[in-house]
Order: sequence, then C-alpha cells, then structure tokens
Amino acid sequence: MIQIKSISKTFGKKESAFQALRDVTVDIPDGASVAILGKSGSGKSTLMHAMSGLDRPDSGQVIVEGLDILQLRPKEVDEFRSRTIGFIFQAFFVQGNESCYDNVSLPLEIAKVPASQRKTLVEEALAKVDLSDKIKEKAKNLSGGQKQRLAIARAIVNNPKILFADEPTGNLDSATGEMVERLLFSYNKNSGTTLVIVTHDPELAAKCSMQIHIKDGQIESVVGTPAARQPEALSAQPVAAAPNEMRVN
Amino acid sequence: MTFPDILKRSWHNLGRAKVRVGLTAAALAIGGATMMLALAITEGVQNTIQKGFGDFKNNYVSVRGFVTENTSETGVQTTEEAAEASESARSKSLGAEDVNKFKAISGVNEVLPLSYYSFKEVQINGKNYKAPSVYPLTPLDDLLDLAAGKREDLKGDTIIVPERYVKQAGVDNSQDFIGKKMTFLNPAQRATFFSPAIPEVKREFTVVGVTKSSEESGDADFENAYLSPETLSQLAQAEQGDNEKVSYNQILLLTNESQTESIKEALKDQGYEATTREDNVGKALEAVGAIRVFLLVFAAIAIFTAIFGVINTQLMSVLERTREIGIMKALGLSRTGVLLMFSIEAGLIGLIGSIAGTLLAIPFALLMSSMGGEMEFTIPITIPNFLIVVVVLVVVAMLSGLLPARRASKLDPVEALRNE
Ligand SMILES: Nc1ncnc2c1ncn2[C@@H]1O[C@H](COP(=O)(O)OP(=O)(O)OP(=O)(O)O)[C@@H](O)[C@H]1O
Ligand SMILES: [Mg+2]
Repeated sequence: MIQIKSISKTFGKKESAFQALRDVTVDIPDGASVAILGKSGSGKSTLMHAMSGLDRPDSGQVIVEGLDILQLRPKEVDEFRSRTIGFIFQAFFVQGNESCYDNVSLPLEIAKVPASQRKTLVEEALAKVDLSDKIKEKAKNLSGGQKQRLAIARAIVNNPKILFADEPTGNLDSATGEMVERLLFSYNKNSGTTLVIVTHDPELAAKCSMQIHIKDGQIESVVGTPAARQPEALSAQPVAAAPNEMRVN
Repeated sequence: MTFPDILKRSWHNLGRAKVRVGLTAAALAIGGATMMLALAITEGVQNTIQKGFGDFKNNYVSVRGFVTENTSETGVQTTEEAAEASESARSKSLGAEDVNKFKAISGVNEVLPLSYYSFKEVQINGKNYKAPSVYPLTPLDDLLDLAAGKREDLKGDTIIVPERYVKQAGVDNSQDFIGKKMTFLNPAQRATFFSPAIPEVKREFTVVGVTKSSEESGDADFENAYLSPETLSQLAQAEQGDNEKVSYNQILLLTNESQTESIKEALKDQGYEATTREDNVGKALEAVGAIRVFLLVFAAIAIFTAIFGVINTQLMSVLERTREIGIMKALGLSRTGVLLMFSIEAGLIGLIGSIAGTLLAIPFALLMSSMGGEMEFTIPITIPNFLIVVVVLVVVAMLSGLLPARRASKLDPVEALRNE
C-alpha cells in the first residue's frame, strides 16, 4: 500500500520557482498495476520520484508499507529503496561495459545480499526476461529491447515490493514494447508486486488496473478502484473496464 | 555494498580508462621511485656505516694521544707556548698511568689499552705467505662473523684468521682448521746507518676462529686477523725493548651510553685526543643526510604534481559516469558507499603507481650500487621501504581523490538520470 497525502513539490526559488506537484493525494493498493498519465511536463516523473523515495516533496506524507519515508534519515531511505523498490527507465541505463551478470548483480551488492545467494538470484532474474544465454555478454552488445529486458531483470532481481517504470517502452518499437509490457504485467501478476508505470500511451495505460491522470501537477482523475485491494478483485477485473471514476479537482 | 564488492567494482572501473589511469599512475610512479631511492640510499649508507662501526651505540671513548696544538687563552699562540706544547706532546705517550687514571673515572666500565704490531709473513705447511693485518679483538668488533670457532677462546697464543688461509692450507672445511698452528714471522734486519739490527721475531699461534669472507668485498687481502689485546701489547712491547716504559697506541674506554659525551669532554679538557663513535659516524651521516634531503624534496615535488593528475583523472571519471552514479544511488547505494568507491579507485591508482615506482627504482639502485665498487656499498630495495612507498602514495592518492569522490557522492540521482 502506497499512501500519498497532500504532497507538493516546488523547483527553483523566488521568481523562477515552479510548482511541479500541488497537493497530490492518492492511495495505491498492494499488487495493483497503476498507470500515471499526463502531458509532458505535467509532473508524472516528479510524482514517481516522490513515491519511490528518490526525491523529497516539500510537504505532505508518503507512506509505503506503513513507513513514512519522509521521516527517514537519508541512509534509511537508501536502504528502503534497495530493499523495496525496483526501477526501470526509458533510456534503460544499463552499464554498457559490464556483463549482463554484473548489471543484474549490482542491486544485490548494494542491498548486501550475501555473495553465496547472488548467483542463483541473478540467473533466475535473467531467465525470467529470457536472457539466460547472454549472461556473460557485455550489455552494450545487446539490442534496445534486450537492454530493457536486462533493466527489468536488474529491477526485479531483489524481489521488490514495488516496481516503478518511467516510460519503459518509450524508446522501443511497438512489437518490442509489447514484449516488455507483457513481461512487466506477468511479473506484476505472478509475484504480487505493485507496478507503477509512467506513460503517455493510452493503450498501455488501459492494461493497468488503475490510471492516475495528472495535469499541471495536480491529479485530474483517478480511474480504477481503490476497492481493488483484494488480489482476487484485481485479477478478476479486466483493466479497461474499471468502473468508478473519481474526480479529485 | 560490502568492501570486497566496492573494491572489485573500483578495479573494473579503472580498467575502463587504462590510458588515463596509466598516465596518472606514471606520474605518481616517478615520485614513488625517487622516494624509494631516497629511502634505499639512506639505508644502504647506514648499512655500510654499521658494518664498520657495529650497532650504533655511543658506548666508547677512544683516546689516541694528546692534542698537540695548545691554544692560549687569547687565541694567539706565542712561539714559546707553541714550542712548549709540542715538546710536551712529544714527550708524552699513553701509558700505564693513563690507564689507571681512566679506570677511576665514573661511568667507565672497562679500559682497554691497545697496541699495534704487524707481521710480514705467515708460514702454513712450511710455505710462506703474505701475513694479514693483525688487530686486537675488542668488544667493539661485535659484528665479526665467524665461520668456525669461538671468539671467547681468543687469549694468549691463539688467533682468529680470515677464511682464505683455510684454502691456502688445503683444508676443505673451516671447522677442520680450528686447532691448526700457524707461524707468523718478521725476518731479521741488519743494522743500517739509520736503525739498529733487529733480530728475527717468530711466534706460533693456534687457530681458534675463522672469519667469514664476505662475498662482495672484491679483495680478500683486506680481511684481518685478530689477537687478544694483551698478546698484541706484549709483541709491541718486546719490539720497543725492555728499557722503554710501557706505552700504548690507543686506549679504549667502554662507557655507559649516557655518560659517553661528558667523559669525552672531560678528557679533551685534560688535553687528550678523544673521540666517540658518534663523532665518527656523524660525519658520514651528514653527507647521507644531504643526498636524502635532495631526493626527498624531488619526490615531494613529483608527488605534489601527481596530485593534480589524480584529481583531474577522477573528476573526469565522475563526469563520465554521472548516470552510473545516479543508477547506483537510485538503487540505494549510500553517499558513503559512493565516496568509498571513488576513494578506493584513487587509492588503487596510488597502489599501481607505487608498484611501478618501485620497479622503476630497481635499475637505478643496481646502477648506483655498482658504482660503489670496492666500497661494498649496496642500495637495497627492501619490503619495508616498499610498504612505506605504498602507504604514502595510496594515502596521497586517496586524499587527492576525495574532492572528486565527494562530488560523486553528492550527486542527486534524479538530476543524474534526467533524460537529455
Ligand atoms: N530540477 C528541476 N528544476 C526545475 N524544474 C523542474 C525540475 N524537474 C522538473 N521540473 C519541472 O517540473 C515539471 C514536471 O516535470 P516532470 O519531469 O515530472 O514531467 P513529466 O510529466 O515526467 O514529463 P515528461 O513526460 O516529458 O517526462 C516540468 O515542467 C519540469 O520542467
Ligand atoms: Mg518524465
């Protein structure tokens, strides 16, 4: 469960100050798949950064798994991210001159997972994204789609509770994009991990159980059911047909 | 991240910019090599000095006679005064009364009157050879290395000889040479216009010790034989004739270390020519000190210059890897973790530099050692000195890398991962 309680974020100071988030409040149930939608510059990424503890809102509360992460010390936030969160970015950000193995092993090293357990975890994660045969390959030799799959393997290797993906298919052609989407959704279903996807793509958003529409740093509407907290309800309900729409402003 | 993981990743990162890292390490290596040579030369010279003077303990005063020039209080010597002084100096030689006087000084543990005597020839198995120089064995010869025998056995008609006589006698083993007899002699000399006739001197000694010949010393002829001080004094006395009163070439005062200097000063005030081990070693050390200071200053300049290389290299590395740092921080690597990773990277450059520097110093050390020639002077590249160079360069490199490392640790992951 992610609870966002009236967070605001302003960039810059005085004349050049720009309010990227204004009093945003939203709840995301465990195991949900959530799309954050909105125009470019509307504040989608900023909201995602606030939810994941990458960035600090100026006010409000972000409660993840009952933990108010804005009250934590920086070191504790780092630890929280390494244990709980997985990230996938539009531009992949895999380490080109490292092997696939080393790329996927990085979050485990950061989370201080004992070396004896790492090998199996890395191999499992690579198998899930169908890259087992590339384990020793340098990441720079992979295609775009393979790189994003590698990024997914890196994001899921430590079994995160929440997976954040910022426009994960933005740099991919539609066929490859679809494969990446399938991977993300099947992981969301099979492991019960909450999936939060930032996207412009309405089709991708429609596949999610919940859509948060953002405009000018404010929530325009949340489509999907906060009642979908029970996993059964979630899987029983095809996303596109989400019934109750609630307007926030 | 645990330390081994950070170390491994730092090492991989260095491998990505081999040329840049190599050049930076080379700059450090020059400083390291100079430092290594400075340390090695100091140690080499000290070794040589210690070989000559034993372990450096300021525990004796050597009296070799009387000071001849006797400056008057005005600092100007009148002719009468000068004549008087030289007359008294000539008439005085070190004798039994001096020995007794020295024995009474507090802080003097032992007084060893020494005389010198030399033989021309030595007979082994009926054949004559050139005799070695003969010295009195004193407690100061504590570094004397024996291949066989015991120095404690040296008294009366016994002798310690250099190893080369073992071979000359056709004996395989130094141990088997112990107990052998050697005859030392000075042939008779007929009277000349200048000197009276001297009868033949012939003494038989039993070998109780064999000194190890050192491999490096080019000329084994420099090695000495040792007799007990008493035996040498008797030989010297016999040569002077019975009518002369007993006199010595040198009197050694074995002293308590803390009182050595004050005893020396007191003796000088009484007109004796007195020196301590510190006086002798001090002169040599001063010369070494100058070379060392020069090399250390050069090393400091080289290392100081290399500091900028390290800072530059690491700043570039941080710039190039902004995204990577962003990812690692997003994945939860703490500030300290990032700081450590970049500091260790800088430290590894220092480590490479110190190893390269030591390798660079070796040919120079060999070259300088060979220039020593007969002086038996080696410039040793030792493990402890290597470790000193490693520690200094690693610490310097890490401190230099601190600025770039801090910059990396402060990177905001959101900024670092912003799409261009
Ligand atoms: N560090 C910053 N300094 C100043 N303004 C910023 C900063 N980060 C974001 N902004 C502004 O905040 C607003 C929201 O940015 P954000 O990146 O969240 O948009 P977005 O919805 O993700 O857009 P896109 O779809 O193009 O990625 C934008 O107008 C942006 O210019
Ligand atoms: Mg964005």
